[in-house]
Amino acid sequence: MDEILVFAQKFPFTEKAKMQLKDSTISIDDIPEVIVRKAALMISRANSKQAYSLEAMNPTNEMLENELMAFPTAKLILSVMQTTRMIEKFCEMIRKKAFHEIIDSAKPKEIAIELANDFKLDYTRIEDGEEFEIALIDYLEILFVDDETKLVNKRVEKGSVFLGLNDFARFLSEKAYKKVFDSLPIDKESVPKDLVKIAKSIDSQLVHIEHKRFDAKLSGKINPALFPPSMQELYQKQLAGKKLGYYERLVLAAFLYQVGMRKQEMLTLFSKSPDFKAHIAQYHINRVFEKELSAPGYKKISEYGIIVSKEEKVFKHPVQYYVSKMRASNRMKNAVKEKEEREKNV
Amino acid sequence: MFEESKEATFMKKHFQKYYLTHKVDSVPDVERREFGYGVFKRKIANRNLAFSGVDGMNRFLCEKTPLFFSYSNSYYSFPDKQPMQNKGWLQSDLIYEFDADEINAVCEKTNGVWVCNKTFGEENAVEEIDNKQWFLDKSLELSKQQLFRLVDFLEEDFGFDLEKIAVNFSGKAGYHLHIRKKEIQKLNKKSRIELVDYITGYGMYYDNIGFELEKALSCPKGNGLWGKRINKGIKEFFKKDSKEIARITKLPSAKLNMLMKNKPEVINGIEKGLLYDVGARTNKEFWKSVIDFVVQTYMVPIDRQTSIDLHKIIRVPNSLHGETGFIAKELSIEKLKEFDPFNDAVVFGEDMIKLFVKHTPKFSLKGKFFGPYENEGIEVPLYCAIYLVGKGVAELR
Repeated sequence: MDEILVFAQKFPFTEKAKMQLKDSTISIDDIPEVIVRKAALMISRANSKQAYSLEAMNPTNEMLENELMAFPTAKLILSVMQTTRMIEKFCEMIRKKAFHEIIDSAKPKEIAIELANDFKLDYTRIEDGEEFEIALIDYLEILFVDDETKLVNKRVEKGSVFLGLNDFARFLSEKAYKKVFDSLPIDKESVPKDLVKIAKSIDSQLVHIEHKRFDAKLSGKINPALFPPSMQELYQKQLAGKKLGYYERLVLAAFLYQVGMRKQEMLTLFSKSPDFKAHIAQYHINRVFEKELSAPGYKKISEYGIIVSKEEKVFKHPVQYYVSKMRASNRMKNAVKEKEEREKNV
Repeated sequence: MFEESKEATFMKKHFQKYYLTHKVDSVPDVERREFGYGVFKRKIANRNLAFSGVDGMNRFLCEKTPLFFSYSNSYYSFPDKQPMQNKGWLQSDLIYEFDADEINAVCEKTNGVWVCNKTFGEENAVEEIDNKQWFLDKSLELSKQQLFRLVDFLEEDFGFDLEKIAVNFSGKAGYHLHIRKKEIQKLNKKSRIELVDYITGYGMYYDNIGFELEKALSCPKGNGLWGKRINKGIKEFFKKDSKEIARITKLPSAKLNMLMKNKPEVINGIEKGLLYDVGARTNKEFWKSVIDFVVQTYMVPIDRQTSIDLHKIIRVPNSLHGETGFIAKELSIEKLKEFDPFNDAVVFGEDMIKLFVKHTPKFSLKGKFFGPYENEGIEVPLYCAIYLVGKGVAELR
């Protein structure tokens, strides 16, 4: 696998990614359908505030190139879409993806440095490279979309901001947000007609999805049977009124939020805790919803001491597992329906 | 254009005399700024004015003679165009504003009188009569103290060069600080909010700056300037008497007695990065109340809106204030220490003027005491007459 291509696919807004695209033979007027579909999926995920990543353990170079190309394609489509706040949502998805690509990687420090260098960021590594010093003025350039980046909670001295690796990754992902945000929308005239059509089609589908999602929330259509085993375990323990640890509760709450559980349902679930205090639970649940917290990836979940089954480990994130099981379940249902239809017709 | 009352004409006449002999040259890049002006009893009557240069601006001051004169912190391509989006924003100075009334808003209002318990015990820092605030030396001294505290944030935390910071007295009850550093001028609103939040301690999570208020009970050890400020403040806090500590922390008396007995241990613990254990169930609440209080004491209560507004207009330094007749005097940080607004900002002469005064407390100007007055005819020096007429408490005889 080409390392630069892997980096470019993970961080498609970088200069390295641009260089990779320059070598591409694909013309803007003739973007293959597979790429357009990926771009549409990116937009759809962004709209529903879901994470987007390449769902393949050992991707080929072709798959990586398609992923990479899907990013500028998505930007072209976004530029002519009508759905409100779509650009912000897309940038937010890119920000979160960038953060997780750094933190969940095997070598987060190295990846962060590679990204910082790509941004041409002026920084100094201190404390044996565990801390990063950047100029306050550079820090202030971000848009502070993520509450965790608030300056008042950082060490600021003599015009410098000192960041640990986690905070440095947050800062870089905010830079990614700004870079993509500043580059959008692209001049509408330069968007090929085919993509304009696709943009219109996505716009109308998103309206439809919004309605569906609203209904789903109302009826609480989540399927715990399809939860990944680690989450299933936590969920069952919570239902049984057993005491969960701090991180267990946090991960479960964030996961349930992501799969669409409503606030009141979540409060009812956590009210079964033996040490339940309504105002504290309410506060934490409100924070999950306000901050739109995502459950951490499996790497972090393991670090918290939550047991992750072998079956789950092929995925990076519990929501990925759940989505894939949902899809499989839907496919199965559809196949059964089709079979029944066929049998009727016969 | 201006109100034609005797008092308005009186104010205008003397302001005009002043401007004819004193050129105002305190606004960099005049041609890129939007200006606004005010008339008698109305601070902003009009805005969206522009001048081609310093001479044009001074001509306006001499000919039209507004009683209040403000300029934009922003630089525009077309400063006189309307609406705002047509002006073509280029950049903005960063401005921090303190007003004694803002600072005293932190304190309590009792029986119609502002009482600042923060620095002056039970003494009044500001008096309010018939809805008019009378700022005393003490309240302006408090503004000044806050300004020095702000300068500490700007210099020590943000690393701003003091030479790029211009300070001026507001002309009434506070100070304005203008930062014209090139990199700062391009900052967007969100970044400016972050700076204000930092200075005011807004949105601070104590655990993020090194406090652990439950199990480990620790405080930051040489880690970050806010952390250091809070540590210092905690030590100061425990110099208070037990009654005051009990009021702020609501600590039960048995625990409070134990705490007071162990004061040296509590203070030494801070040096070592440890917080005193007041009891497992009480620790978090107790220490949070202490730190909340300390942050409120150490933060600088700047005017939030002025700091983040990219389209603000603010008093032109070295122009006159129509409510006091004081000059909004430009000052160096060094000179600020000695600056006494009730003396050094008074620009008008000693000619005696006859007035009828409604109701004032005792006040001092240029080292002389005046009042208290109540519905009486008086004869006072011009500078005092302008002060009283500008405040709207006196009529010409």
